[in-house]
Amino acid sequence: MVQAAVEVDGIWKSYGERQVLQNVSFSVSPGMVMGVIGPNGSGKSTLVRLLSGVDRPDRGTVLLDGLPVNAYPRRVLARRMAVLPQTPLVPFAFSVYDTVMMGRHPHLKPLRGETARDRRVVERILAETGLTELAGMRVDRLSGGQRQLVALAMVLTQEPDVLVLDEPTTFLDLGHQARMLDFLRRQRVRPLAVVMVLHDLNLAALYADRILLLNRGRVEALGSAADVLTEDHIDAVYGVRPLVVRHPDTGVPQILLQPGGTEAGPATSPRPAGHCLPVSPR
Amino acid sequence: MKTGRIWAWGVVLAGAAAVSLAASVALGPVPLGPAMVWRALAAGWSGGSAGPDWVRSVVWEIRLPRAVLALLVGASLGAAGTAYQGVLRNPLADPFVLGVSSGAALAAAGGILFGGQIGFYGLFAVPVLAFFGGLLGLGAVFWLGALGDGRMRNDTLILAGVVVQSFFGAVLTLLIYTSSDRMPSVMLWLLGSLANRDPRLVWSLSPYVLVGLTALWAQARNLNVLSLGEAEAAHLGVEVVRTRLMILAAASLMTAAAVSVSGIIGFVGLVVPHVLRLLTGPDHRTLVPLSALGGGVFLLWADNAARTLIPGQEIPIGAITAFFGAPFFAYLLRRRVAK
Repeated sequence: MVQAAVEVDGIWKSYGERQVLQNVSFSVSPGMVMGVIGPNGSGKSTLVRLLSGVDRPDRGTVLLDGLPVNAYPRRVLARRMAVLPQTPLVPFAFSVYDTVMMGRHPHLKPLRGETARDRRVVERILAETGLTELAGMRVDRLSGGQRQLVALAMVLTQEPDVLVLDEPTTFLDLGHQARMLDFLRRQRVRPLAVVMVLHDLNLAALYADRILLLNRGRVEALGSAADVLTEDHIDAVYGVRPLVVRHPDTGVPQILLQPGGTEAGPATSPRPAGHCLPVSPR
Repeated sequence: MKTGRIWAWGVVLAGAAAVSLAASVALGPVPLGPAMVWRALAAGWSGGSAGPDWVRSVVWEIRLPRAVLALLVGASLGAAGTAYQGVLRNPLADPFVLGVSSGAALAAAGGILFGGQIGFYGLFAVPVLAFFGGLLGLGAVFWLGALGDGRMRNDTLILAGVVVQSFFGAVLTLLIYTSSDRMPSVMLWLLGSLANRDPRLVWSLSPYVLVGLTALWAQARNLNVLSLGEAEAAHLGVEVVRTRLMILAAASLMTAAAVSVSGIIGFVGLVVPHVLRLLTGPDHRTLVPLSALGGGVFLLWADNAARTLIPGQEIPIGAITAFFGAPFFAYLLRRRVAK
């Protein structure tokens, strides 16, 4: 059995009176993509804060290789775990190259410059993310999508074992979303453990190996996309009765909204025959 | 990548500093020719063969110490401004706006009035006192500026700075007016001046500037990463709280040492980092030393203007820097509003 890279064990967190997370547990092993979904205010962002050690749980533990993340000095933790923030980078007028090089920060010795190896890593990641051409451009002159790609390149340059992505596709259009997630999937040749918070359920179904569905700070469901993305779960968490179909290529469930699905009445509306029938995977 | 260009800027600014220093020695009520300046400087402190005695005395006892003081004070304010702007991610921050200068001035003036500046030891003690005054000013501005939600906002921070400056300025004025005539003048402290300063202050100022500058330069890469944002810096391995405190302390130490010598000189720490960031890029590894050099050169010429524009009279140097700095501040403010 492969040892878990990240193990979240019964964490609770409250801010003031508000209980944000209640008894959340899951584990992510190397090479696995864990998708975290849930409505606004379900505790996804708090989960990221606790995972990355920026905040501490009130109860329970977040372990990285058996040690609590809060026990790691930040520099050591940053060599093991990288976090892609939700908001796009707005640095001063740094170039793409210099920004991506900041990912090497935890690896650099104090008062020393970057080494040939650091430059090699940066150049490789720039090439892989297709940013080589833009290396000399100022980040603040790029589009939102390109900026998010620069941020991704930066966190990959940290060469982490664990990658936490907080809604990486929020500011991206459809094409950029797909390119970014496809790129991440190719990264799985490295034994990289990924925790990816997503707003979009269909993207989660397509790109995550396992899905954690949060509802008001509790685990509503945890498992494969087929186990988690059911009509009952979606209805219970989002208060809307969707149509769940199968993706014609991969067979994973995809969620379709039905007009009038939030209105009171019979929960199961009749489906027109021959429309969106389950398709078996090829 | 652009290391060559950065070095070029370093050489240009260092050259400008050397030329400005020589020019400052030449300029004055009695102008000295370049040859005379060169001979007096080359002959050294005690050189007898360098020409008339009064030239040696004017160069080595009056003009050169004052020029070096201007260079050191300007370097402190320039580098400190870069650090404040970087660590607070606020382009309007500088030692003056943040209340560090007024706090330091109040403490330094108080220290001198109540007998702190006794002998050689006192020369070093007053900057330390000013350091704590500066931290008090900074603390007050942060406390006021963070009212409501715990986060500091750019505009409230500036307003808080105005409040703290006015209050400290009032206390300073009262303190000086009610004291006997031991203080040079209120204007020296409120608008800054390098006139008639003890040449030994060069020695008491240097260590603080060196320590502060070294500390800031050592933090330069952390400053770069902090410019991405607090959480991002933490994720990249920066101990945010500790690093911030260290940078603020180092910048405040330099500011305080400078203020205890020259009084409050505004806008150097605002204008110089901005101009250099535009010219040489945002990397603090080069921006910190270049702002020190640039600040030195800027203040040197401000002081030359202060002592030569009206023959036989001194204009407060802070009036000169404000003449250039205030419109620049207004321009930055307008640009932020427009965004």
